[in-house]
Amino acid sequence: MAKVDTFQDLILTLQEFWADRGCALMQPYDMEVGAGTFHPATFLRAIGPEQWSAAYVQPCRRPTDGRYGENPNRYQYYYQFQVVMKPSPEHFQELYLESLSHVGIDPKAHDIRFVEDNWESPTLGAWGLGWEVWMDGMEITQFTYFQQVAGLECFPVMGEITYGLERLSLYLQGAEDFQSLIWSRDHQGNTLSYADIFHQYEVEMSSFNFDLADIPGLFQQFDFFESEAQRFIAQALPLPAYEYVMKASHCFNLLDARSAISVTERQRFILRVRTLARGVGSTYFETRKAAGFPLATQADRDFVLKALDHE
Amino acid sequence: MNKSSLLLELGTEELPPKSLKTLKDALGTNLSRALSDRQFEHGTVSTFATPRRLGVLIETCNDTQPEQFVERRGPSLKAAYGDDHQPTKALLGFLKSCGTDNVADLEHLETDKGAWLVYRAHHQGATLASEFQTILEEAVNGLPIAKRMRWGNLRSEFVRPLRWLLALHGKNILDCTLFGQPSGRITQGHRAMYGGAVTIDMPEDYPSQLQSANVIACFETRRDQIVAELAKAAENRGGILTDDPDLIDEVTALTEWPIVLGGEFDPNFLEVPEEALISAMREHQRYFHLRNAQGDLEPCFLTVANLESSDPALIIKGNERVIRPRLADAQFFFKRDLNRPLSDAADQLNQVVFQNELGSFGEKAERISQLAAFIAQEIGEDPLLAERASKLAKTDLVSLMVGEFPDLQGIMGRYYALAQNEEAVVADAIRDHYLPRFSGDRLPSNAIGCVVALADRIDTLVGLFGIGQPPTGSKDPFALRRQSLAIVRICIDFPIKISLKTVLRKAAALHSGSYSTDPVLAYILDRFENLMADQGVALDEIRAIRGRSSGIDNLTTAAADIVSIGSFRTTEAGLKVINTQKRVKNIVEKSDQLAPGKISKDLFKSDVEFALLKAIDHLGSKLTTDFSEQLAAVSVSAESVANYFDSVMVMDDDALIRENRLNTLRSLNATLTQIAAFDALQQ
Repeated sequence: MAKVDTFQDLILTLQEFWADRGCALMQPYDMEVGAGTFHPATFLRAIGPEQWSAAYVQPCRRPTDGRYGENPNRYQYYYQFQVVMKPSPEHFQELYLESLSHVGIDPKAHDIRFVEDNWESPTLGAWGLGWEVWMDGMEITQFTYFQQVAGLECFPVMGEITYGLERLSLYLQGAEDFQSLIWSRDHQGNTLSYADIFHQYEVEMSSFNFDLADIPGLFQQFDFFESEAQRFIAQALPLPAYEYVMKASHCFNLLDARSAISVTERQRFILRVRTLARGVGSTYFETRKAAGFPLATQADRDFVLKALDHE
Repeated sequence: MNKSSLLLELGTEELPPKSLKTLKDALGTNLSRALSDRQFEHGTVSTFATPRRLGVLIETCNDTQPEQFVERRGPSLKAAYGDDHQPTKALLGFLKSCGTDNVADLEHLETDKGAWLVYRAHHQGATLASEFQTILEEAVNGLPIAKRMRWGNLRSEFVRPLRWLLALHGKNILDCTLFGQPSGRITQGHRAMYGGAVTIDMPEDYPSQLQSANVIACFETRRDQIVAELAKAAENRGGILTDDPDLIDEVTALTEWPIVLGGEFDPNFLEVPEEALISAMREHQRYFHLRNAQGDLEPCFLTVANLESSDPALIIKGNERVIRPRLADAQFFFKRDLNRPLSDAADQLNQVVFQNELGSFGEKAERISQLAAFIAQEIGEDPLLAERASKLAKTDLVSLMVGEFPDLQGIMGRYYALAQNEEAVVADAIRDHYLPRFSGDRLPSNAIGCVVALADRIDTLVGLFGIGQPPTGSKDPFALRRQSLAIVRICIDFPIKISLKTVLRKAAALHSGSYSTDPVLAYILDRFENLMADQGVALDEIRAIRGRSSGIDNLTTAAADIVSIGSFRTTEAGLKVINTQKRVKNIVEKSDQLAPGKISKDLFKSDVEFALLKAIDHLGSKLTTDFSEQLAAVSVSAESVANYFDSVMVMDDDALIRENRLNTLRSLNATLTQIAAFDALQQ
């Protein structure tokens, strides 16, 4: 068992662990997203009968979660480690627990539990059943079996594990808050802290999210991204369309943080994003089908195609 | 016959805690029923449930069905053979269905209608082993699962992925398969503390073998243990627990090996209203809070862990670290909210939509404040206080705290009002105007709170009925039913004496549309009937009051009148009145005219006619007195009415006399009905 006492060691160890279990290591998507689930390696790959196993780090932006760097564990920008396996393997929970032991968590000392938490993303038209994993009362991971994505039934089912890297690091490093987490340590023992890297960013971005982001500009951008996404969906280009959906979604999150969207308007905006996500999902399915679902097993491909014939 | 115990265990990934008890009970019931339906006699059923398993142990279960006697009637003898004496298609088909090709296996059954072929057989009963697959599927498919899921590439759906299947009858495995899992005798012990498989030899050993593997399989045993340990831990800390059976059930469903641990938080957080602290601890963390002897919150909590840790201090420290940011968040929100002027929040309500056609919460607050002031004036309370409380009642909806803890609406509003030097009665009214929230909930603590509570709900009702969105049997998104019940309860229990018709009309006038209030009144009165009936009041007594000519307008007096009519009906005079009034009403209704015409004394033929007229005049003179005096007058009139029917023939041959007598009865009917619909009372 490696000694995982820096943030970057945690990333490296998890990557190595899941690569060893057959996951392809992806890199973070280079756009603003609210969760690792938005990465095409999860959202799009959950659609259709094709098999897929991947792991990656994803920085996430949740503008409303900013606390000017003052809350011990709530930041508007933080890191998730995402693992997806499709079909979800029989021993998915055990694999996950093994990964915790692998990074140095003693299951005989810590109270680790799977507590029901069914996941739903109204903007992605997606839902799944699963748990938040508690360690000594703290949620360190989301664990989900996708049932529906972009309004499409998931078959086979993708299993998703989302680690909250900072929270997990609190335990591994015995730290009290994100600020004091050690990101890296050099051979001389000099350390670089999470605060060294991100504190100023949290303060400035909290101001930006809550107080400064330009509201009319964001509304205009939202409209633009929406119409572009619609244009690409119409041309059966789901991948560029999806990038504009992500941009629109982030605009919406910023407007939400600026309290620029009323309760009823909020529902309408969510519906607009969901409509786009559904469009992307079905276009993606069609393009993969046209390609013959190359990553599917023969049996799953046949099943899905036959089911389509029946409809 | 082997009468061993039967054990079934479904090993799953973690089950939803709030449905665990229901699932285990249903599995026990279903399995027992599926066995009984197939005549597998069995004894006592016990059930088990932990987050990772549902278990059923059934004592003395027969391994075979009783012998089965089969008698099947085939074709008639006539239809069995053709003219050529060869078996017909009907006979051949019947033979095949009986599993034979030999006519000698059939017997003759003589009846009055002729002879029939019949197949009689005597089968061995089926074995449990051969039937168990069907029994299992029936028991499992009938489970009440709110949300089913799929996993892997299976097409089946279940509450959570099934990981193992244990099925034993005595020492034997019952062969079966569920969701791809074949049955066996293996179960799993506690994940961390035991970490492995447990082989069950005999069904009876199941609970004790699991106990040795650090799993308390019995839900109730585990629950009792948690209750005892919580009490002990509270005592050790000198704190007092609040009874919370739902939370205890939930933590029981989240543990296999419960251990109670206590932690502390920074006492500085106690400056945050305790409701927010309790909500953060309970809703998010499933912690139990403690109070001191004075009832104040202690800066500590109890939590139920799922293992006996090699290092419990680590778990405590971890939990303390979790609750800190949650409380810090509550404190952050509270301070930010406190710094925001209420007038500012009130302005923001203009941007929050209440309902598309009914405008914003700002507009609603304006309407409520006028309506509340009106009601306050009606009942002799200070309209300015009612107006102020109404203007502020919804402001906490735009606070950060209520955004994070929605269950604190009203409660936070009170704190913010107090902090900004609003009067205590206004602050309490802000908190209380959501009361009562459910049946049996408490009422607002002061009259201003009641007034705002009424104004808020009446505004909602009149508005939604007005725009054509009254509740239907299945759809009631604004909970108008519950809101109407709250109106009724406040009026009759606090009580608040108001004319509903007047208040509803005022509410309608405050809306921009021209809304009718009759359906709203009828809807509220229906709830009034339901509520009174639920409290054991006879429905006909309620209808007798609701049916009087002016109907019900003031719920408080109506409720009292119903009680009075309840005692009146049992008196001798009361019985007479009920009896005669039905006759009176019948006659009047058949006469094609309800309104009384002029009564001419010249046409009277006897003293009883004069006496009745006098009684009617007497009743008429009492209509403005209180209800008990009215009923006393009704009692007095009873004899005159009875005498009248004894000696007077209403339908006299002389048309003038007849009409005059009908007018007398019409007058009696109209007068009595102003007091109550006595005819509605069952005899």
